[in-house]
Amino acid sequence: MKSKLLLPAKFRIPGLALLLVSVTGICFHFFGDYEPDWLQLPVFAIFNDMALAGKSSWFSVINDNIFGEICSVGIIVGGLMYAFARLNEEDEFTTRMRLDSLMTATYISYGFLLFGVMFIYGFAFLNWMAFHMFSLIIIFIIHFRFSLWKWRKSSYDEE
Amino acid sequence: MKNNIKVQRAIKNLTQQQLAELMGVSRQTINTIEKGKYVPSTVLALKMAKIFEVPVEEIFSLEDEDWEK
Repeated sequence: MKSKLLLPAKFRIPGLALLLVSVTGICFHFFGDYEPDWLQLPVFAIFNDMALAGKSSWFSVINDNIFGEICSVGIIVGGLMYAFARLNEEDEFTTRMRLDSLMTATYISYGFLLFGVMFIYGFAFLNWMAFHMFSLIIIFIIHFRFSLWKWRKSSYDEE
Repeated sequence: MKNNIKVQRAIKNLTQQQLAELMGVSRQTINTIEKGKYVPSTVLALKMAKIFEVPVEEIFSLEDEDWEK
């Protein structure tokens, strides 16, 4: 049975492009503290918890540099587009491979989370959680693509 | 589960690619089914039977392991 949840195949390349650009951006942001000044903008916050300042607010406009948020949205949207765009040769077997990869990615991703919960503390745990936000989709993409490559290579011989 | 898709293809003089196009799947999927690495859905099995003009049981047969839980 054909999956109705898959995106059209044309989403694949733009999704990959968006994902790669956003991952690059988030690396610059995380490891190099890169935040262009022109992205310091007023944003609407449903909830804002300024823990260090000791105050919080609901439905307010705050000033924030949105570079990290833009990259995060790019990773999520680009990742979903690339992960769930139809393949050119989409059929029931590739759908089954997709499900297997999703299960594997879930196991690995939650394995990372368990490890972090048990052994990482303080601000490092926040960073670990930030990584975990994206780990499921990234691991799924890597596993699915690797499985596809192995399958195509192994079934190359035509009889 | 074992199958004799290769024999059936030879009888009908079909390549994997031709069979794949008739069934609406990729050639690699036909190859994977033929090697016994994937059990196709009922729909695919019935399509195959129609193309080969034989009952499904002549293409696919159960083995003892298929009865194990």
